[in-house]
Amino acid sequence: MTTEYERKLIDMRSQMQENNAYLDDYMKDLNSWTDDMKKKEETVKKSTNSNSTPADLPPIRNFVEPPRPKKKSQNKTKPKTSSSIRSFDYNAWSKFDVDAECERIDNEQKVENDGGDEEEEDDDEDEDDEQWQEEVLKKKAEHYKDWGNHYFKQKSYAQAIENYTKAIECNPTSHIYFANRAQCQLFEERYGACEADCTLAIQLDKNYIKAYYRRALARIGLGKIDQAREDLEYVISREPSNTDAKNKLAEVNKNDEIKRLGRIYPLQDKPIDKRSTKPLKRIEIQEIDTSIISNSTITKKKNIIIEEIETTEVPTPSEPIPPPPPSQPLPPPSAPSTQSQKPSPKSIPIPTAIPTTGFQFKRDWANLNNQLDKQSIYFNQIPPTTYKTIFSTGLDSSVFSRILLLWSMKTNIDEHLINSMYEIRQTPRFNTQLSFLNNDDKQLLKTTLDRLQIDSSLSKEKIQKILNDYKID
Amino acid sequence: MDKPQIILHSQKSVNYTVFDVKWIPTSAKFISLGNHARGTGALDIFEITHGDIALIAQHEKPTAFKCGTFGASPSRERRHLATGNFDGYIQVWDLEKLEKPIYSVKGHTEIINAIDAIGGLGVGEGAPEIATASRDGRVHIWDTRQADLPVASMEPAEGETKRDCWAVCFGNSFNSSERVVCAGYDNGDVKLFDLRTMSIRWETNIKNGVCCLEFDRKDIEMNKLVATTLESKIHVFDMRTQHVEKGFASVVEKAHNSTVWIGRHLPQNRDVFMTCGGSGSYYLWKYNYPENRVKTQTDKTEVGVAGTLTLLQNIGLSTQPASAFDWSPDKPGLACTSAFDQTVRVLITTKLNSI
Repeated sequence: MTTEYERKLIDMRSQMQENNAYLDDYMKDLNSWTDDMKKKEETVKKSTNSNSTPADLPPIRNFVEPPRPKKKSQNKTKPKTSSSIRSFDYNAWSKFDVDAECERIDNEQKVENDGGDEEEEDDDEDEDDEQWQEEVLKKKAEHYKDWGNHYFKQKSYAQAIENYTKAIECNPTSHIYFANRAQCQLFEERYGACEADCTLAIQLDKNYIKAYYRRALARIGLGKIDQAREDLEYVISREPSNTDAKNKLAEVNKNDEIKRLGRIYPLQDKPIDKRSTKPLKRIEIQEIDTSIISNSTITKKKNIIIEEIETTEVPTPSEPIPPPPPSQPLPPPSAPSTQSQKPSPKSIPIPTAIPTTGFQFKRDWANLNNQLDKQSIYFNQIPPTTYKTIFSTGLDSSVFSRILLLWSMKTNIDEHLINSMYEIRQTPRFNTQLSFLNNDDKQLLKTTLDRLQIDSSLSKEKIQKILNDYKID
Repeated sequence: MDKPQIILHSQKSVNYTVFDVKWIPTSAKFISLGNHARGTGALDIFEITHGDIALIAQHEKPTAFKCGTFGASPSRERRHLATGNFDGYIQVWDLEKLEKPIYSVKGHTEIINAIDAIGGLGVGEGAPEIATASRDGRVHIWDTRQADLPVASMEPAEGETKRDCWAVCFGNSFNSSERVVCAGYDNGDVKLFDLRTMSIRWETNIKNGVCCLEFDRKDIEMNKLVATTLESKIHVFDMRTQHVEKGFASVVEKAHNSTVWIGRHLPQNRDVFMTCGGSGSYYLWKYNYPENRVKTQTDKTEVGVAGTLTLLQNIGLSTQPASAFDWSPDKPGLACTSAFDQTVRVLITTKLNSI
């Protein structure tokens, strides 16, 4: 009755015995094996004395075959030149065979040529070495180009450019590497470098159309539109079926036109269905001398005679001064306004258009340049009822004093004077103007008012009001 | 008790630091490569005799050796050892004439950290090639028929910081054109470089510096890749199914409580491998495949499924890290190893055929 524990003990002991037995076997085996190996080695050493190189090995990896050295053909010694026949040896000459001699000479020449070939072969050998090196470089270049293409497909353009550059270093004579690099640079938006590469590619191969097309794209990127157009047109002429080039050319032309002429948009005030469907017409704008615009005269030029200061309403056309009718270039006004005989440049014509705004009045007034007679004519033209709008921002004090002077100069009181005095007092800040009058102006005003009082045959109400409001003292 | 046993057969003390040990094919001998205190290189040949290691030959070379491999040896009879040394030189030695190397080139500017070779010894197809990984961040592929220049190289791009490359291994060499090189770096990068298309096939970062990389077999379509790293991690990648984004599936195991320096597959069974740690411990692992190695995802792409690792046995042999480990290709279970305590040891692993 063995317990678990004892059973385990027994198991273990048997195991250990087994192991030891195993080990002993192994050691014996090992010993016999080592003896066998020693013997084997002896025999092997003896047999290896006959060396046989295994010739079936595959070639060395990445190996470029160097050219076999050309066997030099044996230098044929030139056949001995036969001794020449002496000239006085007539017997020998009579036996001379011309044809044979000619043949011999021909053969000699051939031999000489062969000898010359041998010399060339020597040079060829040196060249061959160089050729072989070139071949190696070419293979390398192709390899780099393949890598470049691979990166190009993966859109890693920077790495593709690196690889193409290496390919170019190995073999700078291939237009393909330059053109490929140019395409990568297009994607990287390096237009200057792209153009340079395309130019190089074209130099290496004039018929490589892709290079022209890429150069056109680069030039568009650089803004060299005309040159781009040249290239595109060349591409189209060489490849009429190239739709890309045609589309690009149309795009370029359209963009160019937009730049030059600007976009033309119609006015948007009408709804679409009511708008005219006629194409927009371009109208030429002629620039005229801007100094003339402010003194513009319109259709009819009136010769205004300065001698009379008349209050006759000068029939003036009611057209406002700006804008000038577009189709009429305005003649310089100096010709018609000959009323002022002075040839001096200060002969400014009196504006015949009645001002409707304060700005117009101020402008014209300033242009009249304090010439009293003209100013009086001009001022008299203006209907008093428009004073409100013209002087809506208030009278200028210099203008007011001038007006006062004009009134005082008037020889007789008339409606116009009364009306103008009446209306002026309704301009804003009139009272302040009155209070700020200087003595001379006050005097003038007084004389005018006195005359009004005396010659009071016309609208008495107005006069009364005038007298009231123009009180200074 | 029916697990495999790892038993120390014999050990020998040497007077130099041993960096690599490799079995000489078709023999009971192994070679050790190292660094004397005076800075010169040590190349010793040992043989197993009955129960003991005997020193057969001793050679001293001007520069210290870091690593070596027999993989590109043209045949089992003519054994050529390819070594990398502290100065960046790759040299190939004929064991019969060890006075001068038969091929020597300064392939790197700094120490060659790891070397691997393929195509020799009648194993696999394709040209024999040697891969070297160096502290200058480059991985170069050499062919002894071409002098001076590597046949292929993986370099960091200009301007990028160079990371030490610590490990390199060949794989996927099932026909004469296919071959991949896997490189591991000190920042945890693992890059799989396809030599047929000369492009990177896969790269990942496993967070800790990669000390050792090994495919389970070099001469078949790549099946499993073991990566051992700092901070006691062991990664096993299932290399049969590559997903576009996720790459290869992997299983991670933590062991040794220290840097895992080496991982080596048993030549006779590709699912068994030994890892050696910085604490002088040796762990024997078995990889178990999952039910289905491939899983189809919702977007119809296939992704690999990693299996599991079982620890079969472990043993602690020294206090210093193990610098090298090599299974004998001729005798199953026999292995030689070296550690930084200046000893070389021969181990026996039993019951491997019953796993």
